[in-house]
Amino acid sequence: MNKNFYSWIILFFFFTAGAVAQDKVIITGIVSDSAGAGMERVSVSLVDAGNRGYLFTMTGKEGAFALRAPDSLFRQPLFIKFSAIGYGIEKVPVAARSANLAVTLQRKSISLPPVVVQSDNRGVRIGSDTTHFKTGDFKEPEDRVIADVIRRIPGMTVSENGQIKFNGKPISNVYIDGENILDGRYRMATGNLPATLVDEVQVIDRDQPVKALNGYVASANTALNLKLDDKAKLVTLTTADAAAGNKGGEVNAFNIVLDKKTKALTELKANNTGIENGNGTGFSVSNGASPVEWGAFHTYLSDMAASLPSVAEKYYLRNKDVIAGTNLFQKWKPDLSVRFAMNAEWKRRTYSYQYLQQYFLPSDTITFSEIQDKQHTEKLWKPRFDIELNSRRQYLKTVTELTLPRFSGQGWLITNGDPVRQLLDRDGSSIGNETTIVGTAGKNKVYQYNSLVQYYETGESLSLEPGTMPELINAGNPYAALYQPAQNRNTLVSQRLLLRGKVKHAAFSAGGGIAYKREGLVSQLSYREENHSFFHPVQGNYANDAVLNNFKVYGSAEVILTRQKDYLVIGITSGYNLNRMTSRLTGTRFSKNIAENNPYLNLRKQLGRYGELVGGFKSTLRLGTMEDMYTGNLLVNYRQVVANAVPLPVSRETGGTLSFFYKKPLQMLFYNIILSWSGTSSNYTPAYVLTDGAATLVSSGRKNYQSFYNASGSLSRYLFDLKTDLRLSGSAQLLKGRNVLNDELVPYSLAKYSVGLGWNIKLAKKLHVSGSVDEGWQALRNKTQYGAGSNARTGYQNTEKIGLQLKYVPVENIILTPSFTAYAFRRSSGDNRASFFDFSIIYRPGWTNGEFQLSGMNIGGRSLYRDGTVLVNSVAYASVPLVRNRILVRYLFSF
Amino acid sequence: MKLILSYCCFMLALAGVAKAQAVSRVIYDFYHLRDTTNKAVMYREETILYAGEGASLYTSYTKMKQDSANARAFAEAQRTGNMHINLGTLLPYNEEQIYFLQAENKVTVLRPFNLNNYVIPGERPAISWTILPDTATILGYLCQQATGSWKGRQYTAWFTTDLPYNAGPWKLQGLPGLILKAVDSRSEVMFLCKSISLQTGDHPSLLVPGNAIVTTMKDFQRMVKAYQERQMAQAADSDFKVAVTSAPAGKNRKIVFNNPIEIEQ
Repeated sequence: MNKNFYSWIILFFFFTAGAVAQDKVIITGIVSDSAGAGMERVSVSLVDAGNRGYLFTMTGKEGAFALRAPDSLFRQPLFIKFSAIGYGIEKVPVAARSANLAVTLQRKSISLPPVVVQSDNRGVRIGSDTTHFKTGDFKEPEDRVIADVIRRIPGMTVSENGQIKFNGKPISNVYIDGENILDGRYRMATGNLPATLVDEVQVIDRDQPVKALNGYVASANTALNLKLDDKAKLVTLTTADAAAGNKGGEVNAFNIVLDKKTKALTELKANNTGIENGNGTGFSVSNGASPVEWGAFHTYLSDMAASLPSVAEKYYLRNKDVIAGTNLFQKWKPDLSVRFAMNAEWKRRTYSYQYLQQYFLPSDTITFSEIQDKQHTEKLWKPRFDIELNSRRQYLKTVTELTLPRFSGQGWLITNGDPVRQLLDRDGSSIGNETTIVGTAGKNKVYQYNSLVQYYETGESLSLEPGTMPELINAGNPYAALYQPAQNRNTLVSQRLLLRGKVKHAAFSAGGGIAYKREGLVSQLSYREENHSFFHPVQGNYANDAVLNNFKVYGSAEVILTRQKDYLVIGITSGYNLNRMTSRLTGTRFSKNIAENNPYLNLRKQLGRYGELVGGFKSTLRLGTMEDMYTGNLLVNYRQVVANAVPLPVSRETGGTLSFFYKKPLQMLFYNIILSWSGTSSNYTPAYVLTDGAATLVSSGRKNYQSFYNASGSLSRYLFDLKTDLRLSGSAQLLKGRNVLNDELVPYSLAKYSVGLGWNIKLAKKLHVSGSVDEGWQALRNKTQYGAGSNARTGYQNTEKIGLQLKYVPVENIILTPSFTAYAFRRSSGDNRASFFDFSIIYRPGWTNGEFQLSGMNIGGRSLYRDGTVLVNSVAYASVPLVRNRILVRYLFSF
Repeated sequence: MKLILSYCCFMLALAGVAKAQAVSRVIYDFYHLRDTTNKAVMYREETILYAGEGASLYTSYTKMKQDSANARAFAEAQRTGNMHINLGTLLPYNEEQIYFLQAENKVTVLRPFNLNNYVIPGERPAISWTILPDTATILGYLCQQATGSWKGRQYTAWFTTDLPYNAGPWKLQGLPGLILKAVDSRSEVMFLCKSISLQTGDHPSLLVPGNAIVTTMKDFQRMVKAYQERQMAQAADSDFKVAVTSAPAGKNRKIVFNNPIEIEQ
């Protein structure tokens, strides 16, 4: 006998036995608005605690209503529910024999926000939730590309490099009309796709792109789908713009083809106006894939870049960029598609920074001052070819990628008053294939095979004139030049086989694999004395010819318990590592075998209708790579030499995260709280020997422990009554650990917190005001282990940023957008302030489909900006020249 | 401080002035078995209800989307001088627009024909609804079941008092909340709400166009029939070629309309 049954009985008697005489409860009342006026046509319902209605009526002209309810209904708690368009819903408890009610409804101007929560999920995402945002409801007239609109959607953030987050969660992929055209490299789409072509931005929770793995794996990924407007399906569209001004120009073109079977996105961008367009796919970037990540290019040498200032990049970046990219997607069959992507980049950067770094030692402060005047040129070719078969029973994806980056850096620097000319060249190549196959292995069972094969190498050379660090290189005697080539060649092979199964509310997997990694490094440091033309090898241990082999066999087991949207994942990977290091120069060999157990746990719990709790814990063993183990000293740059003193660095990283996400799309309320902790215990401690002119990095054999605590949160809310989009964010971080500085153990703690507030208010149809206030604080505390508090050294700095932007639309085809940003920077050693005034005027003449734009940047502002960064054991300050009074005239059009 | 307070008051006042009249935009999937001799084919159309305070408009969303796309295609052809226009697959739709004005208790049907709008006024359908205790959640709204008969069909409807519009798809209305789903007892007619959103910007007027010609259903049908007979006799020539790809017709079986939505007149 459930509640439903009783309700039926009650209603049966009520509706069909109306003739039977019953005691009646007469509930009357008056509904008025906050001004006291009676409200007509308010819906009045007698409901139970579960909102099931028993009687309904509407208020009359003066707001009066009357309900006659049988006494028998009042055996349970009952309520009167009042609802009216434009007003908040009121629910008033009614005790038996209640007679007269006076209810006031409060205006809640919009009870339905411009967002749709839709229950019909995309076929490939069983059980996932999709939140739909209608583009037209968020788009402003000046928005050109869809990233501009996404930035306005409450809960969404788009970082300067194009990364999108929704309610604190990074977006894993962006689909276009449900098609995976870009496979995660979504910036080309979001940064170019005209906003007018997109009908809806859909947020897909728990995205599981592999149909055959539905129900076998737990996913907490969030993806976007850009649902295109009908007109996008009719045309091939090209958008282009060209800009010229007193300090540079730009040319951008983008073409999109959306044929039924073939979809293609192509972009060409060139500018020297401080806009970073690259995809960041050059050196030091891993493509990322499971279970073993693609090998990232190893770079052993650097030219010591300055830390970047906190102002927007456009104010200081002096660049010349040309990038071109194309993504071709073709559907051969409903489940079979191919992708081809080609990216080419040519980027030049000119730096002219003044840089100061202070290292806090227990009893001293060592300061490096530098003036850097240098130029970097980067080139990149990156073709990639994918085949993907994605059906309910089978999955095959094979990705073959070739990456050819080239880097050249040259320039002068003056370090502590001594000038040095530095040349750094780097040439790399990587070719690899990653294949994933999923197939049916019986009823409710699938097998999964993963393969990754990659070869990658980097050749580098560093030249310095005159030679630096004479005390290390030439027994203290000055000399003319240093030259160091370094080449590394690496091979990676990983193979894994898993069997996955599922029963009603659980899934499991078991399997194993092998991974082999070979790293080789060859380097030689040579010097040339004054009036000599030949380079001689530097005496001492300044050469490498070593090979590191790591062979790993591992097994894994995982159990997933699911209940509706909730899941709990418990798993472990256990393996055995065989490590062999051989130095051909010295003939030394080193071998060590290590067993590892890496447990992990992930959970997701739905809290109420709108809340979601996501947590995770994992413990992972990390073994040192060639970078941590080469036996010969390596000159890293003009003032740093690295010597590795630990045969095999081993670290265990343990960490946990607990996050709460709250999403109430109909009320446009999104917030999240993220707590995380990680700890790393290592069998070594980074050790630095610092002198006035040089830093040497070695590893001490001491055990070390570093911990990191993070608490962050953000809130995004649309205030309907005020037509205001409000964003709040905050974070607090604490990093604790130990370093060895000049043979002394130095514990450090680095604390940072920041709070931010942003808003966007539509004052009138013609006038918008948006702004932001950010406050940041960083503090470093160094303390010698044995010196008690008396030797503690501290540094702090505060950063404040206030931004204000107005938008005024005097007539339909003219948009004026002046903006003002002020930065204030306070630190232990002094304050600094800077402010920027920018403007933009958009004019859309009727005789063309294009628009003209006149923009100005840093008008009448400063020419130099100073700020700093608090680092572990040191504080770094940079003085960066700014671009002033940049004026650009742009014409944008499409055809 | 005084300045900040004045500023806030100013902004609040402006925000109040800027408030626009909003209507709810409710999109339904409409299914109708038009041919009972071929039960495998259900007619499907997207329809839209604009619901405001005391008034609503129900029309074809498929038509709106298609008209908009076609207009762009024609404009593009005119701009480029291309005389061949590919309009893609044209989907069938119903041209009828249904206006409901609560204050006058009237339902007015508007039918465009031959560049004119004809309105056929009528009384509000008096559906005698019986509200039942069953509830269901549709698109996140708690809905309650009701049953009622109209024009020869027995409908089961699901409405929500959280959206207190006395409106619904087609001519189904009169419940104390918005109808999100309605299906007839033979499962031959179904309206299923697929999205609800708020339209704060421009939207079609919920008032019957003032320049429309008032007529009766009988006179309207007589006029349409006469015009069609005359049209068939006059084949028009034109240089302006329009390429139309018809929706797949299956086995070219003749479509029979033997099951109107209104069984009784």
